[in-house]
Amino acid sequence: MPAFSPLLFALLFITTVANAAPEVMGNITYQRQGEQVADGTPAAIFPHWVHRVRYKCYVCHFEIYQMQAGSDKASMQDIIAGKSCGVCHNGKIAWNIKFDTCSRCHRAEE
Amino acid sequence: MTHKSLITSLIVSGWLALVLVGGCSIKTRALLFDGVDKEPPPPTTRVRRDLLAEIETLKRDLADAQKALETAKAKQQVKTADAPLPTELAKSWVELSELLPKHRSGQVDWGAALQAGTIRPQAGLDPTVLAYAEFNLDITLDRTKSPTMAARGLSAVKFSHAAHSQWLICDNCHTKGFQINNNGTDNILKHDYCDNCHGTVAFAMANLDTCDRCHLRLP
Repeated sequence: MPAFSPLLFALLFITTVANAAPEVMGNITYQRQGEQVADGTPAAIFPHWVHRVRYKCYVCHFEIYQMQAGSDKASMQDIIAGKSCGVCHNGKIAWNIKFDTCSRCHRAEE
Repeated sequence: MTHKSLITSLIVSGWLALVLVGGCSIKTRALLFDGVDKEPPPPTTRVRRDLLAEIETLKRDLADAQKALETAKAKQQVKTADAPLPTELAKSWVELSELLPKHRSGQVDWGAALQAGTIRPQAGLDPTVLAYAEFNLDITLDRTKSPTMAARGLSAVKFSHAAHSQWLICDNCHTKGFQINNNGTDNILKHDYCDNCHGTVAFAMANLDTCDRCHLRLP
């Protein structure tokens, strides 16, 4: 029993995660890297659809981001400094980065 | 007895004096008293003048009310323009995709949503920024441009600049980092050109119903 219970748990975990995160076209997941993994914060998800309803593509591309996925890194330091997401998410154009808004991006699922 | 007759005669004489003075013409009264020599205007003139003044006042009030109504209407129009669309209030992708028009292939048709006004994307972070002009040039990419297309016997692709320029500006595609020119469309299926957006944020080559969105006819 103790021999295959980790395997069982792993299987259970994988299926739960797979079910919990449905694929939404255009969503970009910013995977936690290096030491970030240990703190248990969920990865940040950028939903293209939320932004596309409000802005044309060229508002952000290339002024803020390149076209190819993965060509831009987003760090909290940059965002708080008014770069990347922080260009709009500053409490003026869109909601501010605060402790009560963490889970708007850092969430396990869509 | 004498007192009573005296009082009665005083009352009668007072009464007579009042009646006489009251019955006098204005000119006669002016002889007797000061300050009544001014003849009041004839009643008809006064009423007409008052009415005219009243009409003028009412006209002014009406003009003011109309102006206020117009201002209120304009404000209301601004409010309805500012009111968020149902698509802007959607809390999830599932909720939003139910509001958006769909293509035959089952995928969301963003272009149709834009045309129908289901969505209202801004052209800049400042909502008053005007959108870039659309570029109305349809080009046909025939199979001579692409060995893959030739090898697979695919029909030519019609590319609508108009459909793309309502979302993108020229240098989003025509740049060094993401070069698109007339000479190489062979890498479309290798995540080099169309696939940068199609399949990630724009409609994917998902099923056979998608083919004719680009290819003029099925092979």
